Parts: sequence; structure tokens; C-alpha cells
Amino acid sequence: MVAALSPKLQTWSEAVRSDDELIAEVRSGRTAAFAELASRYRDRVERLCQRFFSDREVVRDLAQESFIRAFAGFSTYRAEMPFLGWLRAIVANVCYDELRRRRRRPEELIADFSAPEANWIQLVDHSTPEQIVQAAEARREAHVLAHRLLDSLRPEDRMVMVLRESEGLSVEEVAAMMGWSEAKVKIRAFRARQFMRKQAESILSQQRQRVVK
Amino acid sequence: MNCFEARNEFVAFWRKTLDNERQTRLLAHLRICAGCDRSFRSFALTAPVLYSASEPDWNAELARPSSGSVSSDFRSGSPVAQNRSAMSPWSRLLPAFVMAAAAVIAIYFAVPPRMTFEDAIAAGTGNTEVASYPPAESSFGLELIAQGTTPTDVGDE
Repeated sequence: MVAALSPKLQTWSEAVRSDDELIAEVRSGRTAAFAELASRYRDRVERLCQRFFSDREVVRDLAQESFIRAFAGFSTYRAEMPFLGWLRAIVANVCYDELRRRRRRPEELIADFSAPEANWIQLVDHSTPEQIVQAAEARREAHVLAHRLLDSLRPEDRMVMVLRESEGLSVEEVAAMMGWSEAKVKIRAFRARQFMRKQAESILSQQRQRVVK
Repeated sequence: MNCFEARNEFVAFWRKTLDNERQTRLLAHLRICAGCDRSFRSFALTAPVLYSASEPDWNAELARPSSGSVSSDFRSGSPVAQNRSAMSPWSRLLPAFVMAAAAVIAIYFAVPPRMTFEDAIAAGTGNTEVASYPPAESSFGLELIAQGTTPTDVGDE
């Protein structure tokens, strides 16, 4: 039985190569290995892009752009750092460039809501915490509204918010990734949290006033 | 659990990585602390993007009515999804067909009819390009023949 399985196991172990092996192959000129690395990290990369942009096409384009930049700059990768960390820095910078390119009007209070968004706000205001968590998973409008809220942040504040809160990076890591001082990261994080809290409370109080009327 | 501890647990609670005991304590705290409860509701407005593992598929969302239940409609076997898949291609094309028909009718009435010879004579506009000439046996045709004018001459003018 084991003897019969051993060729399959051997093939499987060859198929599942480590990142280091794939990276070594890319370095030696086998570009197909990069495609395997990209497919391995595509979901993570797209998820990070999704934290900045809600449009699926934009997310795909940015993920693609990130992989192209990663491939073009592969010589800058150092083996002592984790590949994901290096790739994440590229993705973050690609998203930051796109945020700045869009130049949204920053920090304006959101006032107009679609019917699904208003329903979601009402649910957040009146349901139990368990119901809110359960409902948020499937409700697109929950994500749309959250994106709209985060869109009102300045690009720098949003970068810090996502990298600190979603990716769980430290102040030092964010500073190194974005080429900013640690003081700037701390200030941005403080401002972003305060502004988000203010926005969210304003939305909830608007909703309560609407219900009273 | 104090307020500081409770607020530190929001992310784990949202990601469902909180153990039962801590979750029970957190929920108990939220029930008695209005400040933390308000803070959690504010947190919940941005948490779907910042802390959720994935975003719902936009195509799945299209199958859900806006006033529907929280999550059951997203299952592939939901009545809404079944109704959508059961729709025939003809019923999906019907609105497009109605729009196209309405456009054709609108164009028909918007374009003025081509002026006939009789219309041009009645309007007294000699230079009007007419769509048809009177047949020779008609009264207009006989009148033209009597004047020595042929349809070809009229056209040349």
C-alpha cells in the first residue's frame, strides 16, 4: 500500500514547493515559478486591495499591477525577509498611488444613504451585537457603507488605518513600509480613528433622528 | 470585564475568534455599559471592510431583495436564486424587446411623411422635392400634359 502510494506522494511533494524554492527558481530565470508564487498569494493580495477599493475590477487590476511590479523588481527582494511582507509593501504602495490618483474630496460627512444602507444602519443601531456580526457577513451594503466611510479619510490616514487595523502591522512596520516617520504614522492613526468614530456616531444619530421623524 | 478590556475584544468578536467565556463576558458588559455599546455600533460600521475575512460576492447580492432576511437568501438554494435561474431567456429579453418596439414607433411618428406631388401643389412650394409624380391619367397629370409640362421637367426644376 505504502509502496503503491510513494510515487504519488513524491509527485505531490514536488508539486507543493516552498516559497524559498520557488523564489530560487525565479532568480535562476524560471519565470513560470513566479506564476505559481502569484497564484499562491493572489487571494491575500486581492483581499488587501479590497480593503481600499470596493470595485471588483479595480481590485483585480491593482492586484495584477502589484504582481507586475513585484516581478519587475524581484531583484530587490532579500531572502532574509518574508516574501509576503515584501509583496504586501508593493501592494500597499500600489493602492496608495491609486488612492492619491483618485483625489477624493476628503473628510466630508456622509449624509445620503441608499435604502439598503439605511436598513443596515437601522440594524446596527437596534440589533444585538451577535445579530450585527452575523448580518454583516452577507450584506453587501454593510461593505459598501464601510467603504464610503473609509473613502472620506485622506489617503495617508486610510493607509495607516488599513495597515494597522486590518493587517495588524506595528507603527514601525508601517513607517518602514511607507517611508514615513513613526511620529507621522502615530498621528495619522490617531486622526483616522477619531474621524471614523465621529463619522460613525454622526451616521447613527442621523438615523435615530430620521426614525423619530 | 472593564471598558478598556471590552473594547480590545471587539476585533476578535467580529472575527469570531473569541472563546465562549470571553464572548459571554463581553456581551454581558455591552448590555450594561451604554458607552461601550455605542462604541461597538460605531465600530460595526467600518468593521466589514477593516476586519472581515472576505467580502460578499456582488453577483450573489443581486439575487437578494433589499428587504430580505439577513443571510438565508445568499444560499444557492434560496427561493430567490431558484426563481432567477428558472426565468426563461424570453422573459429576460422582454423588457429589451418592449424598449426596441417603443423606439421604432417613436421614430416612425417623429419623421415627417414624404411629401407627395399633390401636397406640394397644395402648399404652393414649387421647389419641394416630391416623393411621387401624378399618374398621367389623373386629373393633375392631365393638367400638366395640357400645360406641356412633363414629370421630368418638374423634376429638373
